[in-house]
Amino acid sequence: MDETTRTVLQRVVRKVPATRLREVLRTWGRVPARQLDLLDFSTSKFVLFEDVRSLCEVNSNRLTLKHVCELEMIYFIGNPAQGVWRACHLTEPDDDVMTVELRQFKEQFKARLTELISNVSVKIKKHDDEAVWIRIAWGDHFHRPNQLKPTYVVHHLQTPYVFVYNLSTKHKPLLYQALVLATRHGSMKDSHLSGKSLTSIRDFLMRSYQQAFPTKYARPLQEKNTAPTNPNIEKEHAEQEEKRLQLACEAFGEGNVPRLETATYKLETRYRGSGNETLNNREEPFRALIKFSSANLLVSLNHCVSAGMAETPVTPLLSSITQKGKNYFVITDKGSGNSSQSMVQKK
Amino acid sequence: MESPVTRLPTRRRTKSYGRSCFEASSRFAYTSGQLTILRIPTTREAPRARNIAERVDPEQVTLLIKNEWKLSYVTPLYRFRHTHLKKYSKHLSAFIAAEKQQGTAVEVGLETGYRVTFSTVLGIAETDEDAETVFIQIQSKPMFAATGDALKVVWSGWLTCVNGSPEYLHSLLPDFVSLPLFCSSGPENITVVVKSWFEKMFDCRFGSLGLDSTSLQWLCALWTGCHPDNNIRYLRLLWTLPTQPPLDVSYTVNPQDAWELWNSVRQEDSVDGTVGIDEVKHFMAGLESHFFRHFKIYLSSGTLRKVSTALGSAQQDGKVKILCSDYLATVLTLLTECAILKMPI
Amino acid sequence: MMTLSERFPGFVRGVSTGGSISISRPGRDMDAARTQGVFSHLHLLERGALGLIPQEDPAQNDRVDDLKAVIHTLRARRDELRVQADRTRELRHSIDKGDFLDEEDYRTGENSEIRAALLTAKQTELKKLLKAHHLIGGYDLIETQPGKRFCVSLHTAYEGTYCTTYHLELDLTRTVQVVRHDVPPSMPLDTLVQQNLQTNLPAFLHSLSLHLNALTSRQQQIVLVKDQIKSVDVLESNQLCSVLVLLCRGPKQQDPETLVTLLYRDLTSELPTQVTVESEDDALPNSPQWKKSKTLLLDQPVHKALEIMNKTGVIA
Repeated sequence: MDETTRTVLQRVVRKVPATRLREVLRTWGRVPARQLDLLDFSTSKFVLFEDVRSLCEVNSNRLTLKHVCELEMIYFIGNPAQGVWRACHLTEPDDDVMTVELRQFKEQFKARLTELISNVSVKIKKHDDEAVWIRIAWGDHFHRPNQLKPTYVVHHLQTPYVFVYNLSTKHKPLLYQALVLATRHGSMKDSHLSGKSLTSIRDFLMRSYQQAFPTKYARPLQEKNTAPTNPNIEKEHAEQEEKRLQLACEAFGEGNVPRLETATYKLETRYRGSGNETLNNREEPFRALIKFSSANLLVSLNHCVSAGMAETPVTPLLSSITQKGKNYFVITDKGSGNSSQSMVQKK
Repeated sequence: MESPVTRLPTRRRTKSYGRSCFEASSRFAYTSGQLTILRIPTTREAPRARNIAERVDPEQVTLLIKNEWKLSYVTPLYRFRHTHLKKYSKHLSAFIAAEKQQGTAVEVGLETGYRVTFSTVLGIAETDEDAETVFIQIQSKPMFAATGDALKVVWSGWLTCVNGSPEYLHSLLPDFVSLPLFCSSGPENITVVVKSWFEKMFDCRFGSLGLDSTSLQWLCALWTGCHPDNNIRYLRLLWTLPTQPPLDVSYTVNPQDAWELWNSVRQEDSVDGTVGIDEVKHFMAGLESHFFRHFKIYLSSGTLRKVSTALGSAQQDGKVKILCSDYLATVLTLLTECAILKMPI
Repeated sequence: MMTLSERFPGFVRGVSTGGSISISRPGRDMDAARTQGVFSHLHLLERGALGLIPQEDPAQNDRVDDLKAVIHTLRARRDELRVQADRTRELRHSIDKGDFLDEEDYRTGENSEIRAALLTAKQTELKKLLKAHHLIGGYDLIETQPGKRFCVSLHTAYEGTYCTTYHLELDLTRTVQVVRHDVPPSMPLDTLVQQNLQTNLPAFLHSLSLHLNALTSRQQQIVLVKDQIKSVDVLESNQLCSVLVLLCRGPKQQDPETLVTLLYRDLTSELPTQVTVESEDDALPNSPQWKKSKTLLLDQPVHKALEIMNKTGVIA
């Protein structure tokens, strides 16, 4: 076992919680299950690593870096929520975009990327029946690929969606170009959507969550224990509450919505607070950065609107999160002196 | 577009989450024996940049601005003498050692002992009535320290009084020294021990000191006003709305734009070096209504939790960081006042 | 020119058919006479005079009693049915009104059978109505902002079961625009919008509905394959279900595995446009049974085709 293989293995063993390590190693299949059962997973990670290493050496006399990277991928695919995932979008599809299939994609992608950069190691693994996982360790002319800080890419074949984890700006154009060519597209761009949970941003972008649309049937209101008051007022309140809830659900989805953590708005609009002539007459924009954050942003915003902490109808700025599938916006005025706003995407 | 932020004080919506903008303008407080009425000031002196190094030992200044401080208030200290600091240092060291022996509170690594140093920071006090600031540093002596090793600072804290209310200070009985603001930084268990030592020694009481939204708004406006002299780099406000789960809204304003807004709400007749509460409230309303215009969310339904600029930051839960010493007096005046107001009997 | 019988139907018929009427009872004959004219009446009188009409006899009295008993039971049965009909009508009425969840009735179990039958009937009726509604191109529309915006629901179904319902909110203020929707993003909605939305709304909705129904069909087929055909693994598919790669195994252990790729280029169809078969054994894809299977896969929904292939022993 060479030095790099050792280091990567050590990192995986350290990173995986002891409770899950057995399962991950079993899926990997390089160590017989019988021997795994004999391992004591409650000892220190240091001891555990030595045990795993010796088991690996006993069982497969030529355990290579490739095998260890596979182990890392197995764990990562099972636990993708470890940092920030960014969504990207492939655009300008070729006519034969629908015919791209896995084998062809694998060959093409590897070939294209190695054409662009000499020292790079790529590992591709199909997870379920839709997602393709790519692990890339980058190097350059003078350095071997850095296996300790790999980039992960998740792509759903025949769709324009790509999700990227830990990609430096230096390697971005290389990855984009290789992906664009391998998937038969014209270009690729940032979707301005990021989050900690891969599943959530994927479901969010692919709209696989429950959206609310107006129906002919009234939404059942949840029962509440409130002190009895004037029935008329109560009725009016209930009606308003129902209306707000409906609007909130239409804007932010209902039930089990994807978990987004933040939404950021860069405001470059003219000041239009009330009763301030000096600033209202100013030509230059009032520059501010607004960041909403919550453990589950869409649920919080929904509650904010339905509980009356925000005025209805929901402003397009907020409903754009779900409608455009983004959580980063740059807001400018549509031409100077015009009060209406337009969304301008950041370059 | 009309924004509700500005009309809030006069008209209330059916369902209000907001706290009223103007908090109780006066408070009754007992000081030892005498009843006084303490007023929250409606005007303050505009901050003027002052090179504090001319008055205070620069080394001591760096001690004050380095850390994030957790605030508490302290009732007047009985028979505290600035001349006995050496004795206090020994006492407190012994006290901590005793506490450690009992195994009750202090247990920080492998240290064998602590060295406590009390010192006076001269020049922080602004008036003759203000007692001089006292700084306490606790260093640990590692078990296997070589002779040349520097001692590690494990805890620091200070007691201060800047522009303390003269009515209040005059009402104190003889033998009492008021240093109402206590700032601490370090492990909580040491803070507990230090507080209990003070309580035993000087018959005083400590209590946690949070900053209400008015205090935070004051700081926000005062810091913004400093911009022309001292770049604030950004003005950041953090609200938390009571949604389920809670929604944090961070609002960062370009420093120049924030200052222009502040400048536009300054009243003609107040340019004589004072700042009025009305101006502060207008400034906040101006920020909130710009936000409302975009997001239709009532920030007033939430709580202002944190205010920060490059000059310093302050949080609702009583954590304060002073990053620029030039405005030390302004900030400490405000905090001293909060401490005196918060104090019971 | 009209014939006589056309002009006077009663008269002519009386003349021509009078003699052939079979007579059994006088009352009826008299009626017949009244309706059938003078000749037949005379004929009747003549027969009466000749004693050809049979007289009542004692044996006939027994028969009358029997018949009376029959009448009695039938009347009783009629009344019974009448009560039941009334009750059914009442129930039906209450079901129509919507208050059919009368707990009292449920607890006593009274009428439960009728109730269940009626509910089923009602459900069938409503389903048929809904189906008819959709068949004639009806969509569920709701105005969300009067005169400005409305929301369309597009239902999809597979083999008589409703599946996903998709929605579109359209804005009519200037040009017709899609405000928001929950159509899967890989669906070529933009193309459909460009083709028809401005010019022909029903055509737009129709083509979208075709696309969505075909998608649902393809999705359901995959579910059925996974569910019913255990020997086949679904290796690959995508959000649009436009590609399906299957790993098939032969009936015998030593048979080579086969990779079947189905491409659905026509997104409005539930059937594939291209089938490719690959195997380690190069001869296998060209064997007569696999050639037959390929045609089968092109003609039948995939789960059905695989089922037939399984029965005919092509796959395990």
